[in-house]
Amino acid sequence: MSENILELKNVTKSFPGVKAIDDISLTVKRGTVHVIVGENGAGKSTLMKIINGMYKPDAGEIIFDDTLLGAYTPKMARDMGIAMIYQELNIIPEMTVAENIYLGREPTRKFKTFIHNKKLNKQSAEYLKSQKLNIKARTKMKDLTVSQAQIIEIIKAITCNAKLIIMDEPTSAITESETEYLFEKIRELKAQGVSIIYISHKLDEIFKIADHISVFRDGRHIKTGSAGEFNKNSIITLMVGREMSNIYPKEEVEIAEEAFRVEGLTSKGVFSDINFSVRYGEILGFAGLMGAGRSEIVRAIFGLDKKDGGRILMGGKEVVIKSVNDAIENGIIMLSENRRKYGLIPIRSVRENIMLAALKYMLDKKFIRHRQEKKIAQEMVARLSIKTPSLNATVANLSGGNQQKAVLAKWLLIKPKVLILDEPTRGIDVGAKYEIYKIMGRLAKEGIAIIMISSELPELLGISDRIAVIRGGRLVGEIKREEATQESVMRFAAGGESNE
Amino acid sequence: MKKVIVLLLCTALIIMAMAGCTPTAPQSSAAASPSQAAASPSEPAKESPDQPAAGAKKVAFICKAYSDAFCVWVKNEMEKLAKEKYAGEFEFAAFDAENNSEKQINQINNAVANKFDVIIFQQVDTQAPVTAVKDAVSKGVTVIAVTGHIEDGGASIYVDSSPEQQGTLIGQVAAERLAKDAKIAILQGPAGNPHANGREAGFKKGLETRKDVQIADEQIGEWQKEKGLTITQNWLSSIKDLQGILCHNDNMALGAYEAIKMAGKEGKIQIYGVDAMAEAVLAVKDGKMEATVFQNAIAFAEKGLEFASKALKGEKLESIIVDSELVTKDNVEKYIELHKQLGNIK
Amino acid sequence: MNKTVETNIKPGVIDVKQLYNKYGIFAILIVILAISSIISPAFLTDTNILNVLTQISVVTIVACGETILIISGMIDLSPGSVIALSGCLCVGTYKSLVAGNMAWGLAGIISILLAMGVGMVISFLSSAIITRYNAPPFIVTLAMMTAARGLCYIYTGGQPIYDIGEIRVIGQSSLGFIPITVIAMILVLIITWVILTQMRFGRYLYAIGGNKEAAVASGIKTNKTIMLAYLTSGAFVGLAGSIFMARLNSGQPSEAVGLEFDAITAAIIGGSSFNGGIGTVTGTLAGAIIIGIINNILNLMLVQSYYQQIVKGFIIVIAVILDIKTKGKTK
Repeated sequence: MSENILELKNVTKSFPGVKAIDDISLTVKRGTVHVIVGENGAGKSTLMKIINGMYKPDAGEIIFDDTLLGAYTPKMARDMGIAMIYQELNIIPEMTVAENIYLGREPTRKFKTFIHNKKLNKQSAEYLKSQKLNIKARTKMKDLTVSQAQIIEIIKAITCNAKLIIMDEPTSAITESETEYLFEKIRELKAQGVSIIYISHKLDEIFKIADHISVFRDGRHIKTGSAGEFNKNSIITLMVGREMSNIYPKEEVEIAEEAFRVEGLTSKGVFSDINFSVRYGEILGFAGLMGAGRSEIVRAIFGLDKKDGGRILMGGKEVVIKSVNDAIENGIIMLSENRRKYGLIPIRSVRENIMLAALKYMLDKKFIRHRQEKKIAQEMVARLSIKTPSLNATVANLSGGNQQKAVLAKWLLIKPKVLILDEPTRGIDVGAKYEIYKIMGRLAKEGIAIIMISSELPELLGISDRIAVIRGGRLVGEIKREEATQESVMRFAAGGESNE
Repeated sequence: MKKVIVLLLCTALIIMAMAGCTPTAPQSSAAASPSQAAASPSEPAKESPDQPAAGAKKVAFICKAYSDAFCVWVKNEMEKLAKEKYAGEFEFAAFDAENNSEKQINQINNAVANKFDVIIFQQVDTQAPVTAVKDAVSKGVTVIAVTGHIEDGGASIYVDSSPEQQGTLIGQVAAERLAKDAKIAILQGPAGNPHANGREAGFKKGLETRKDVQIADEQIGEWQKEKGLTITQNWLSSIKDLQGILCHNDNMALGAYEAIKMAGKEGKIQIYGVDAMAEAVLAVKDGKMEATVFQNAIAFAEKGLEFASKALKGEKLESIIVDSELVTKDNVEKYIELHKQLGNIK
Repeated sequence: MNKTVETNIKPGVIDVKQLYNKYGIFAILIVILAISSIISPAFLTDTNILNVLTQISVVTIVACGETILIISGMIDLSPGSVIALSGCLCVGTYKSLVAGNMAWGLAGIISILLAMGVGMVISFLSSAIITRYNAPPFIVTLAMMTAARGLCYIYTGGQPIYDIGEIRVIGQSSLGFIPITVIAMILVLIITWVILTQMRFGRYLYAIGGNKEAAVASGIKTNKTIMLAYLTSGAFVGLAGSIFMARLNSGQPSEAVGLEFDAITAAIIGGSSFNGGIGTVTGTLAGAIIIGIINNILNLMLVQSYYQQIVKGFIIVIAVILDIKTKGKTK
């Protein structure tokens, strides 16, 4: 038995118009955690899909567990012992947790066609309990939070006796404690001899578990080494292909008078008595653990959700916000953390998406002037450096970072006074993140008041002028930029305890 | 939320009141089942002003479909007659089977359960209601089929016409009128429908004497005027020298006429139909149609109620066939008069 | 949840799927046209072409309304019944007005507007229930379908309205050599095209159908837009009803059953997606023409009724499968 669980030799894969994977060779040692990093479009996800059987390589060899593999399907891969946790959750909303965990290997009754539902639910409940997870087996997938759903997906992969588990951005949507849970599981698996390929953007995180690190760029394998050979900066340099001295560009901005104030904002059972204010040109960061209620607060401010009490004031004057329209008309804009669901119309074009709000709040004409629209959209694409083949390209085909920029473009066209960004850089690679930070800085300079919700502490610390911390639906602390440290923020966010 | 419910209820009530007010007093299909009809306040008051004594006899009429103009004709006749002639003898209630066998079976069962003494019905299907009918008869209910009959071995009595006789009448008159070597086409009723099948057989029988006549095409027009129109329009493009169109019913014949008129071929193609609807007899008078056949809707209504009355008096009943009559220009005035009396022609 | 389609397509590269998406239906149309002309010499005559156009007019008008609705993620199952109701009301009202000595031009206009008004009232009711209670459009419009048919029978007493008078010209006559029904159809097609491509309202329809949550979160008044879509469709259906009965030269309460399915089929074959967010008026027109030609050619060839059904079903299934395969993954 060789020391490698997986060997890729000169693998190449092209799609119409683009070479996604260019002559990549890679080895993964047994019983190790092998982290792969790279910008979006670097080819990481594509390579994983090749390993997992979803795509067939145009050239090259795949040797798994000392066997040279011919063409195979994901199901065959699963049977061979390759399991994969996808970045984009593919859940069936009406399916219960129990059904999902046991999908494909349900306990059956005497006649194989009937599923033993009682057993299914009992076993699942037991398992969830043994894993100390506070999720009920009969809950429908659609009723889970994003992080809970992701955890279930992780469990699914872990419990099917794989030899190699591929995890694609598994922590992008889960809480800190759940991340810890995952890392513990990973260590357990390692001890059992299971090998793990781990893709992540979170450079701080990977050093906690990585044995080896590979850097990809533009479809090519740049370098592989043991974790100790790298540090954060060297990785970034390799990923981006250039020196990046400043991950968090922060501009000097004149902070003006108060733009926006919230008093006593309450929503029964979700958050209570939230008071804060933001000034023009200021960036207010919202820190807190997932589930603390930050998204809910801003959704209520934006008129998407109802609130039970509290006032919102713009420039000192109270405004009534009962719907999204009210918010927009008062100059309050929010980019949702779920851009797929709330930010974009995926099947429509870049141009239509960018113009979606502007049609009413900027141009306000019943008829569309196509030439004018094209010009405006083109300008936005240039201003935000949105990479797209054309204005008519389907926005779903853009990378995550460019999609986020498209959503930003949509809102910037109507010149917000207060811009609320909920996890603006989630799932976006380092290069694109940087661009978004720069944009935020520019906007602050132009005098816009910005509120940013983020679960990446380094990001919050790097960009915010002030950080407000939410815990359990209450605002428990406000820290100025100069005084803020990861520890001080976490102390507020987690209340000194190590679980949620 | 409450406001909307109230609004909807008011709308529903208004509609029901409207229904009560129109002269033919049709019932909306929502109130189709006998039990509901017996409970609705407006119906008995309007249809039988001389209330029969308590413990009065009840006669139900299950119409095949309110969407079928001929069936509705029979129903209207019955309602009129019941009011004029039989008000003192029994209460009369009509129901709509909506051309649905299952619904009709349920209505038969409900009528029995609601203690109707006689059930008159127009069958949607010849086999489906047999069990329900036999059950009703076994419970002492008299069942009378009109404008059709079912295969129940004599459990029900029928007042029927013969589709084949109707078809033969048309076939014969067409045989007399069509030119030599004439090409004709046939517009048919729905597949498997006994009226359609009977008339088809009748057409061909009537045309036996004219072996030179060719049937260029037959298409199913589903009794519908629109289909008759469209199919004929297309025939006019593809069949050279079409000289006659025989139709299983007037609706399709009238549709065929519209197509011929729009193509400017009036007078060049003979059109035949069955049913003697008001519009059709006028068409025969004007020469737009050659002939149609009068299914004696009035006789059906009369005989149906007469049988009901006899049954209630304990008399024995025997099934009868009512002959249909050929309507041509020679005798069309009689039928126009009839329609005028019925209020179909103003 | 959506899956990212992983392609970074460089401009200039030809992608067969995308090509078919845009132009496929027209290719099919041309093929069917070609085959039909070869099979039957009667097909390509002036009369027959005009016949086909008149025969598809009513369905196409309704299909325009359905296209608008399907694009926004909605549907309407009531058009067949509303055609009967509005059509009978139109010719019945016309007959009464003229009997009361009104000029037939004015009477005609009033009657047609009345029909369109009725169509709009019914759609308004449907859309009000759909938006207020977040009720599934399928069920609500299905209920409306039954109710409208019932209303029609009540109005007509179950009997046809005949001898309707001059109003029949809108269904039977031509202006020059173009039948009036075709003119109406072209008008409706143009209006629909303008709505979908030139108006903000149309853009909003695509957005709501593509992702309703995102539309709401982008400040679009979705309920208002949806109701407007239904109103538009209702007006179209009312117009279609007038034409339908005029063509038959009588008000027939039992006709047009199931007509909405022909209209919806035309829209789907033409590229509209039941998921919403996708659809064009040109596609719908192509779909309606294809179905119309198929009906026509089968008739011209004197194909027996039963076989016609089978052939039609077969062709529709093929078109739909082709459509699914070239749209890629949807929600």
